[in-house]
Amino acid sequence: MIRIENITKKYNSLIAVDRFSAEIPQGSTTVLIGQSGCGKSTIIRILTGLTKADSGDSYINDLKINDQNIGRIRKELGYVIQSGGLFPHLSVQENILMMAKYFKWTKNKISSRLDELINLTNFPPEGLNKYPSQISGGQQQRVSLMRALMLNPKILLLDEPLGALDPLIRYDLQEDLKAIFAKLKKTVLIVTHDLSEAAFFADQIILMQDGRIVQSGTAGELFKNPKNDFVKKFINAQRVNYNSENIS
Amino acid sequence: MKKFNCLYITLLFLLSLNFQTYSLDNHAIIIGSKKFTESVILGEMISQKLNHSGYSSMHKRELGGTRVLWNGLLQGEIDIYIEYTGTIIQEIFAGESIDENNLSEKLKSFGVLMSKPLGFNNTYAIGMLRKEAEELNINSISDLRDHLELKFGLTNEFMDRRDGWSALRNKYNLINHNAIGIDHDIAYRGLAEGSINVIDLYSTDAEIKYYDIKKLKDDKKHFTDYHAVILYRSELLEKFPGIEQVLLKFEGAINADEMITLNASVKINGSSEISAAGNFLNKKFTIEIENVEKTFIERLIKNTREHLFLVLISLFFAIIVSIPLGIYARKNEPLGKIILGLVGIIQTIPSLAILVFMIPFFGIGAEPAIVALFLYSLLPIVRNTYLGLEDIDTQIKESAIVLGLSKKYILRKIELPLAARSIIAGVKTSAVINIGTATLGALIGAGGYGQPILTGIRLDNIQLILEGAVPAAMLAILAQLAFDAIEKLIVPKGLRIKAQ
Ligand SMILES: Nc1ncnc2c1ncn2[C@@H]1O[C@H](COP(=O)(O)OP(=O)(O)OP(=O)(O)O)[C@@H](O)[C@H]1O
Ligand SMILES: [Mg+2]
Repeated sequence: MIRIENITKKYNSLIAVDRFSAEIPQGSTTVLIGQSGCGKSTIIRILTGLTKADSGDSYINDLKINDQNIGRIRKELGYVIQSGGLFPHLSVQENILMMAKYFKWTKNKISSRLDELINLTNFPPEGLNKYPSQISGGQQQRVSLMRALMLNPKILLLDEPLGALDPLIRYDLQEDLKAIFAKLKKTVLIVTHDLSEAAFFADQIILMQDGRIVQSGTAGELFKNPKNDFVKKFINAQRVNYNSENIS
Repeated sequence: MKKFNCLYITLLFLLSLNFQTYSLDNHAIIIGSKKFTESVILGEMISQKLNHSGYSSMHKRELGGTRVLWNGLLQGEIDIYIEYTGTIIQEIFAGESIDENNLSEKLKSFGVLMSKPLGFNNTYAIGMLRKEAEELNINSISDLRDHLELKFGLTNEFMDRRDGWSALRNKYNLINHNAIGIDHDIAYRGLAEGSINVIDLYSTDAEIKYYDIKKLKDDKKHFTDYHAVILYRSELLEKFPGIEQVLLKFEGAINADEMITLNASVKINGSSEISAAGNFLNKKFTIEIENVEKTFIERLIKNTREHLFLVLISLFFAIIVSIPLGIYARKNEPLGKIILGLVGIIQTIPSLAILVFMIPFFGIGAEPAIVALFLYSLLPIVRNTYLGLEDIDTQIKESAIVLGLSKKYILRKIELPLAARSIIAGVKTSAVINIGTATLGALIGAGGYGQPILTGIRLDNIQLILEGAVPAAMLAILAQLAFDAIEKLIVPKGLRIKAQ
């Protein structure tokens, strides 16, 4: 479970996040959506401890995010970013196994976990010995996800994980990701620009503007009862038909 | 622990390179010489005579100038060297009321003893071709007064000196004569061709004999005396009783003509200082000096060993200091820029100046050269370590942090491997600069490839210059190749694939 209480973050005079509160229940998927620069990544970064909020508190599984707790909290987090953030000097397998090696797991435990993960993410085993620069963007994201899942964290924070991919690859990964979320019952916070993708993943959508929440709710609620002109315009601009099958 | 052992073994290996020289240093009497031919010949002569008399001595040749040798003598870095009375009075004790009469007393107060003059006076003199002087019946400087037709070609140094041209002119009333400033070597050639008639010279210059020059009598006693004397530490007499008798054999043993002949045999006839000194001892003292001259290969091996010693030790310490310093600078930001700035300032000091600055702290020899080279090697490695770390994609570093890896682990397994290429490039740059700069080490007695270069410049001998310059250049190329190979070993494969 993720709980965010009244968070504000300023960069000099710019307010990146403005009195933001939200709760993401255990095992559900929430999508953060909004225009570029509205503060989505900042929220995610605050939850990872990479950025500190100026005021307000956030909790991961009831553990408050602060300097003392951050080590424990990070073991419960899986973090995937748009560029993948893979270590270019390590092979795909070394990337995936980074945390298992760090905690000195046994060989057996490592290899059975590796098998589980490549099955889960549909990753072709022959790619394991390649280097990140030698595999496609979509495969890189699968590797990044495996690396994040290694220690079986309860929470996944995904910042535009599919943002850099071609439509067809993106479609495959959307399907796979959604299946994985459901199968593993992870608590997921995912950022996207794309409203139909949001609708596809989300139990809850949070639409942001200038660091604030404009409207949150299910996709259906947003499409049927847009709270104001900004929400209407945001929906129309992406030409998503609210009768489309994507909407749950 | 394993890494520590590795460093330790490397260090031992490096020290062993020069072990032989060091063990010599400890038991030998060290004789120094300045970097001009006469000084080297005399230093060599004393060294050979001492060795022949059963002492173990070593000649550190061609050490910079008066200051380097004088300080070396005071600090016990060298035990003996040849100096000139005029230099002691006018340079070492400049501004003090010291003359030839109280000079010995003054030196004693520094724990330094002085022999009587060796027999020649290497002072400034005024000279003409003997043939012309005889035709015009000119014997002394005073005789020049009535010969307004004679053209004077004087060295720039002599034009500027306190006891130089303008003082000489007043003293001898040469008011109507004109002089042009000219380089010393060119002056001799001008004299031979007849484009100038009168030049200044050192009274033991090799060329005096070669061009058959007549030194005009300084009938008004204008020039200070520069009698060659042996300076030696009084301490030496306690350690080596009987040594003084050997040294004092040189008193009055070499007259000006003999010194000129010796200088000429090296500068003009191209024999080495070693054999010139040996031959002289054979004749003068009828002692048999074995030929201690080294062959080309022996010299090459010795120079290579000394050069590698300077380069490898200084580079080794530069690496183990600079990489952590670069990391520290990067991780402690405002301070980091200051560190980079300071290390950068060291690099702007001319290398020769750095070498000389080290002498008061470390004396002469390999130590000050190593410290200077060490300081000189810092910047490229510190800067490249810093930049290599700075260049790493923020998103990669942040991914590592959020995974929950410790800072130390991230540094070791992620940041340093990613910065490896840049760090190695920095070490390579340092090594190449270091190999070149180390040739200057010879100026302060560190030996190496600089030694033949220095001698070659002094004697205008291209072959000797190449004997140092070519191996130095080859060593630099070798270092480049070695680092290219090391780069292949150390830079992770994943990064090399990307570079293709
Ligand atoms: N380190 C920083 N320093 C200054 N300003 C920042 C910094 N990080 C983010 N910002 C600013 O804060 C605002 C919110 O940034 P954030 O990255 O959260 O936006 P976003 O919604 O993720 O945008 P995008 O869709 O482009 O990724 C932006 O205006 C951004 O320029
Ligand atoms: Mg963003």
